[in-house]
Amino acid sequence: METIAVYWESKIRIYGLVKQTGLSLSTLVFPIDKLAYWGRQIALLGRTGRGFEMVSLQPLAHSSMQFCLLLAENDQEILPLLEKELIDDDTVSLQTVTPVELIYLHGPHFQDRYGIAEAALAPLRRRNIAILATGCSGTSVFLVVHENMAEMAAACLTETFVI
Amino acid sequence: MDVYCNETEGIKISIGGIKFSPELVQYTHYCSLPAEDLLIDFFRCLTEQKVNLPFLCACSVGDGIRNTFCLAANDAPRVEMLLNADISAGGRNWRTPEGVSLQDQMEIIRGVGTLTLFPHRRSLILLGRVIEILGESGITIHSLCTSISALAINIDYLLLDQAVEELCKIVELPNDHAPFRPEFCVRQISP
Repeated sequence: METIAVYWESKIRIYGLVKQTGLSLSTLVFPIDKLAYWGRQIALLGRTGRGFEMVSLQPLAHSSMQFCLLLAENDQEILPLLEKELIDDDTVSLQTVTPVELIYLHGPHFQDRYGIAEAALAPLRRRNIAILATGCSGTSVFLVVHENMAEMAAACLTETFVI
Repeated sequence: MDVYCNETEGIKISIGGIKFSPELVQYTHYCSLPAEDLLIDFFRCLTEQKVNLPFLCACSVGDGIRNTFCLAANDAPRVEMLLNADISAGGRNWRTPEGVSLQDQMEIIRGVGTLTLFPHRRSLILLGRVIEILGESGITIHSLCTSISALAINIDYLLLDQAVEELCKIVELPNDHAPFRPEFCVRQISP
C-alpha cells in the first residue's frame, strides 16, 4: 500500500542551526585489523566521563581506517591519553587540528530526502570555505570548518536552508 | 564516573533501540580540493535524479578530503550508468582536469546495510564497545558516523542480524522494542 502526503517548501526547512567554537578535530589512522583494539581504547577513554560531539570512521587505502573525533573544549583532556596510546606504535598516526568550529543542522527526516548533502556542501564550496569534516546521517548534518569560519558558513547556508 | 567504570567492565548499556536500513551501496572517494568540485557536481546530479544519500561522512586527509557515502542498492545501477555515460551521446564528463575518472577513484562496496543505535548520549564507552565487539566477532565495519543522537554503522547487509546478536551482549534493548527492519519506506517525490 502506498500513502502519498503532500508537503511543499521553497527552501529546505530545518529545526535548528547551532554553531560551536573551540573544538578539536583529531584524526586517528590505524590498521583495519586493529579495529577491536582501538574500540577498546576508545571505550577506556570514556571512563574519564568525557564524551564526543561527532565521530566518523571510514576506510582508507592500504587496509587502514580513519577515525575522526570531534571534541568540545571541556572534553579535550582525553587527547593526551589518546596520544599516550600511540607511543612505540608506528602503524598508527594521530593528527589534531584545534581550534575548529562546528555547524550543526537538525532537519526533518533528512535521511529520506534527496538533495540534502548538496544543499549543505555546495554553498560553502562556492565561497571557498574549506570543510574539514562532514557527517550526514539520520536527521543531522554536521559541518566542521576552520576557526572563525562558522559564522560565514552559517550565513552561506541560508541560501539553501531556512529555520 | 562509577557508572562509566562499571559499563566498561561488563554491565550492559541501556539504549532506546536499533534499526536497520534497506540494502545500500557504499562509495568511498578521495579527492584533492579542486576535484572536490567534481564530487559536489556529482551530488547535484544525484539531486536532479532524485537519488537520496542516506549516509555521508568526510574528513580531511593531507591536502584533500576522504568521502564515504551510501545510496540505496536500487539506485546504484542508475547512478553508475550516469558515471559511465557516453560523452559523445551527451553524457556528463565525470573526469578531473587531469583526466582521472570519478568512478575509477571510487572504492565501491555492495550489499551494505546501516545499523542505527540510539541514543548514543555522546558516550565513548558505548561507541568503543560497539566497535570492539563487532571487530572481535569478525564483522567488518565499512564506515560509521554519528548524528545528534544516533550511531549509524555500515556493515554487510547480510550480517545485520548477526551484528544485533553480538551487540546484545553489551547493550540492553527495551522489552517492547519495535522490529529492526523498516515496516514502511518514505520516498520523496516532486510535487
